Amino acid sequence: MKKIKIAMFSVLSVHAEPYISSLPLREDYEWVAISIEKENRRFVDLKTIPSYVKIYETPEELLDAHPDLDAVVLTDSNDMTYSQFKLCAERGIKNLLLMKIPSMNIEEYEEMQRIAKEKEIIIQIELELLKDQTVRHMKQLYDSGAIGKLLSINISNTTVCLPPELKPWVTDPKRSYGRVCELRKGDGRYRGGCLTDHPHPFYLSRFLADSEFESIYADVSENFRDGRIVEEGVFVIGKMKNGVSVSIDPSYSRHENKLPPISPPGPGWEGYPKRVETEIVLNGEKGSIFGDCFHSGVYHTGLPYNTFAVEYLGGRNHYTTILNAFYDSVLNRTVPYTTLDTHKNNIIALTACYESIYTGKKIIL
Amino acid sequence: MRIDMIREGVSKISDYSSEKWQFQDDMTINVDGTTLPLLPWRFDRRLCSVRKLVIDDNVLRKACSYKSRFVGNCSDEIRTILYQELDICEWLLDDKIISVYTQAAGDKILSMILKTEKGILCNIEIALTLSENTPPVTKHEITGKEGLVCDRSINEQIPVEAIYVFGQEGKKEAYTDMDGAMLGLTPDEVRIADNIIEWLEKSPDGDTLQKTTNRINYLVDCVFQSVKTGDIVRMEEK
Repeated sequence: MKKIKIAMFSVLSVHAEPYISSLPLREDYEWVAISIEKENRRFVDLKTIPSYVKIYETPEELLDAHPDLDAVVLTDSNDMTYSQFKLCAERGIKNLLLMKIPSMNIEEYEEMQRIAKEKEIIIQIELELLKDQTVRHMKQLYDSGAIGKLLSINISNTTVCLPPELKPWVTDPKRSYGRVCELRKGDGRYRGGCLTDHPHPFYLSRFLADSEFESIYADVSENFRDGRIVEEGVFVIGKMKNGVSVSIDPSYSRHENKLPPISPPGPGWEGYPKRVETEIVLNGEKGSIFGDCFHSGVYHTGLPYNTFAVEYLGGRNHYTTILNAFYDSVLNRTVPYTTLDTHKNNIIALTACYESIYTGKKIIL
Repeated sequence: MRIDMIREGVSKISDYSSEKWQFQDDMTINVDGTTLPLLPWRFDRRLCSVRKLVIDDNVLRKACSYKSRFVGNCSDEIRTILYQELDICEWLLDDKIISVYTQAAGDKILSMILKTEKGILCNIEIALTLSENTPPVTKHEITGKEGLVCDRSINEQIPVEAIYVFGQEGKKEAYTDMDGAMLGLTPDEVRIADNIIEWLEKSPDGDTLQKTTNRINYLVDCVFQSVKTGDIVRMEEK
């Protein structure tokens, strides 16, 4: 089996840890290096990185030492993706695995599209719920006629909000949204919170409705946590071009344990027992389908916090699927299941939500 | 609705004779010549507990957002369910809705984003898509500064029941009996009985109750006005 020689840039992404734990188990990937700035090494348990993986201070140093890489996973904060993408393109990297927000700046985004096309770079974006078995089964059931014509979709993608002690950039508007942009005139909060963190309901709506957003109305609640300056509670109502009505809750409405956080966060660190909930309801002319992507798991009240906590089920998870798909695209030069082109309308929808919050009006796309 | 069963239930656990009151219609009773509209959802045991936690015990310190979902059966009237869910929203939050944006999908589905006087952001979803005689799938969740209060547990996509029977014919049956004295009544019937007993005990002012129902009807009208205009509707003081 041909092995893909791969490296990671940074450990700041919320999803960096799963790659650190998944890559060493893969026979189809040869994980050779990772870049972690010294100041960021406290955010990862270095013992989880195998000794054969070389650790560099910067992406530049890593690329200097490994000019023969097949692929790179960009697991840095959102604001670093654009510059690291350009660096990789300049160094001739032909395959990139990107996290959910390549850029919230549409000019930067289009520049990335242009470069990727010009240099024939394979780019897969980690929109993991498109590969989720519950989502795909629900779509299959709907396609088979289980509920007749689809009329509306209701998606809740609600999570904890990683505290600054663990992921300082997540609640920093400059680093999550890419620039400081007021949420509403005089509001005192900025773009870059739960909406930027949760594009999932938007791509799921497009996938499940098999259509594009036509209009969007969104509003924001007071924040659930004191002292945070990015949005935490948002409700969205959208209309798809084929008439399907969509209602989305992407909020950070699941609280954390107030005890000092441990890094990386382990079971029991959550206040609400599940750190992520993704519930979907499809309403059709002849019935409804209810789905829960992170469905029942195993429960405990043990250490470290003795709170009621959910342990998600192991086995083949989203990262297995993501890495399988990426391997296939890299090896066979096939178009990944998500690309910059297919993801663009999600970024446009998120931006429309922010515009709607700012103006208080429905936005026509 | 089994009116005779409800009358029997009320007689069983209260001292009021069945001659003292009559049903005027499904949602109104007449007590000694006074018309009293019923608000039976306010006697739902789960919702009562939600309100106690949020309002009386202030466990959230401050409520920030409210979310409800009602997926009911296709024979329900959307206006009736909307009336119920709007009142539940204001009652659970002890607050008044001041604006609404609504989108409809056909005549059986409504999605709403609402704001209250205290600044709480609300989302109410109603879909009447289930076949007749299917119990509704509902959820009410309030999130605040200190956590959330919800009438459903984690992973509870559809309401759990108290008793499940797996009989010989492979048919699964489920029951939830909440009050020993009213065994045999459905939860819907129990809350109507509880509502009637409360009205009989406390003799609420009929005019005040009528004002409440007028306000809820006004909110319902605002929702449909938002559907019609495709825009946000701001409520006038009522």
